[in-house]
Amino acid sequence: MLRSIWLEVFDSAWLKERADKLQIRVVEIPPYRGMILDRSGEPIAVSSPVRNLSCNPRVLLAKMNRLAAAAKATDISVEEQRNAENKQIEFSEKLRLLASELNIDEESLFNKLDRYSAKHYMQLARQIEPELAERVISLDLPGVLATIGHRRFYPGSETFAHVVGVTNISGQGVEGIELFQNKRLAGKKGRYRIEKDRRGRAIEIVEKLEEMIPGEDVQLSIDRRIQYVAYRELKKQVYRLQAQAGSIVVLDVHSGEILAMANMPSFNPNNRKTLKARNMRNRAVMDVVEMGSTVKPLTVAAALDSKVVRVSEGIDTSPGYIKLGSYKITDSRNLGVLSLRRIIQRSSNVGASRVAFRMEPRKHWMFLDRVGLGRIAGSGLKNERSGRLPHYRKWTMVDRASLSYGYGLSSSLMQMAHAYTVFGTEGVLYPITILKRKQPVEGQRVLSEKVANQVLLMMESVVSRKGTAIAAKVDGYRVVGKTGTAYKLIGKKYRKDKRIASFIGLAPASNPKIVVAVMIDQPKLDATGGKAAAPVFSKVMAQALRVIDAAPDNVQNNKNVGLKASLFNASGVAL
Amino acid sequence: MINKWRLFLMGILYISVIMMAVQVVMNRFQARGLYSELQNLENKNDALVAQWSRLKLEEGTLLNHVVVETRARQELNMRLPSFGMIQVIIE
Repeated sequence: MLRSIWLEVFDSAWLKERADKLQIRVVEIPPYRGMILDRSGEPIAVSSPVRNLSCNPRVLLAKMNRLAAAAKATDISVEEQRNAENKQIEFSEKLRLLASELNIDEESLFNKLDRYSAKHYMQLARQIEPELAERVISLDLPGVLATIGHRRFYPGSETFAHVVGVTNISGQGVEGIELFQNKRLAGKKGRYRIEKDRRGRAIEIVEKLEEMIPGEDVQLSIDRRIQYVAYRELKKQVYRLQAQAGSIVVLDVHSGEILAMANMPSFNPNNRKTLKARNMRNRAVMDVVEMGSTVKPLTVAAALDSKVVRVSEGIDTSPGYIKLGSYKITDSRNLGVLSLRRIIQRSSNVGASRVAFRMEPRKHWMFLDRVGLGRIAGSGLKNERSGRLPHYRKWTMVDRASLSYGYGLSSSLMQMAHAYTVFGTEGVLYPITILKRKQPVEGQRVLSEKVANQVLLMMESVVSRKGTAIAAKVDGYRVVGKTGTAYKLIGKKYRKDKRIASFIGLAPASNPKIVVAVMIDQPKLDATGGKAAAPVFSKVMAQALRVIDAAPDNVQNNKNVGLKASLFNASGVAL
Repeated sequence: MINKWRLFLMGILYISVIMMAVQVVMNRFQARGLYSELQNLENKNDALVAQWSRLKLEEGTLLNHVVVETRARQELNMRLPSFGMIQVIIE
């Protein structure tokens, strides 16, 4: 204390001289990037502080040359010379340590230093552990500096890759949520004017030009446990069927939250070197395709809602085809007179077309538009595509027919899954989101309660021995849904050998909570919705129902449980 | 009389200037001390943040379903109950 007064008052000359050796520098403090969390708060993307090591080759080489010159000098005493030699040895020892700590070959380090000898900056190592950087800095080599950085880690690797996305080398989001929520996640870097001493250590903050603001965490609506199973089952199936790609979407019908979304092929966001654009497409929202038969329940709902058919009515589909000029709509065979339920169960194109012909195109179009086809859904995944729903004024008879069974309009898998939620909510469409909802959201009625329930129950027949997707059933639950097997449009031709197999369904049927939509692109084997997509649906739905703790609503069919249940019955618990 | 007052005033001013000068020096000295303390704390904070993020990461890795599932199956001999093994109590 007294000394500082002494220095300040009487020895200012000395201080001045010392002050010249100090530097005032503006340093940037990178902000801590916020985490991405799943709906229960578990981390999906985490930043960890790391250090970047660099050196000033000029300063380093100057010191080296000075020591070398001193060691060779002849005009000094033996002792001084020995001293100088020792110093030189000590210095080269330090350089060797530096090289070995950073795991680089000593010779290549010297070569690089040579190449950079005229420059002021040379990178030594990127994104290394803070402890390692500390050890290198403590070697006290002149010109060697460590700066703070952050590295992004994705503990779930491929599983969450398409939703979460990835950051680039400088820590900015380039895909997925990392990109769409970059502003919130990134925070703001701080800029401080600081005083440094000769060795580059900060002594004092002279001025805070900008305060560092750390990034916020972003919580997704994704449920980790459902997501894992969704990805795993999809991957298994895509490999088994040697398919080109696949997608899966799981939605909570009442909140519109995306509980899981996965695609194949996927990528590992932890390894930036292996990233390929092809694998990084979030197909569930970016690929719009003609979905085929999964559109039929929407057709039936639209027809019932505009009161052009009655539930009990039979639609004559004979002779199993309709000819419209050169265009021919066909069923697998002549199915005769079918109820609406059977049209969905047997997936009759002719039946769906006949139903569509009764509707005013405007009403048909308005319904498809209301459930979100042809529109951006606004989930927060900003690479969403709207798909295509042609305007009803342009519809020909062929369009009216083909739209009824899913051709001529295109949509993403997410849009279709979203449209199906109305069957689970008694006709209310809730906005879809990838971010966790803090409070319940208002939905919009798009279908009458009665019609929504009627169509829901019609779809139950699909998941039965006589339907197209017995493989979709889930033990203990009543499941409803619809298969789709669409021919891919390549160029101007529909290719019968290249198909898109899909299944979209809801459960539990008595009180639907979840929609699972599965799409397999070009499977080589089992290329139908019932064989390719339904098994994946079944496994993922089972897991999702377990995770959200949905009560089984199909216990009667199970003998074992039926017995136990009757025991409970006897003691006054109603079944 | 006025002179005397003036002298007195001047005296007080001089003394206060010196005192303030001392105060300034003291403050600067203290500021340096506090700054180095702040830096220590910031370093500690950095280290803790680093550790925390690593623990979060470890948590995330251990929560990986593949890890959980294999450990549950192999180490704890657990398996998913088939529906036949589940008793449903309907209220």
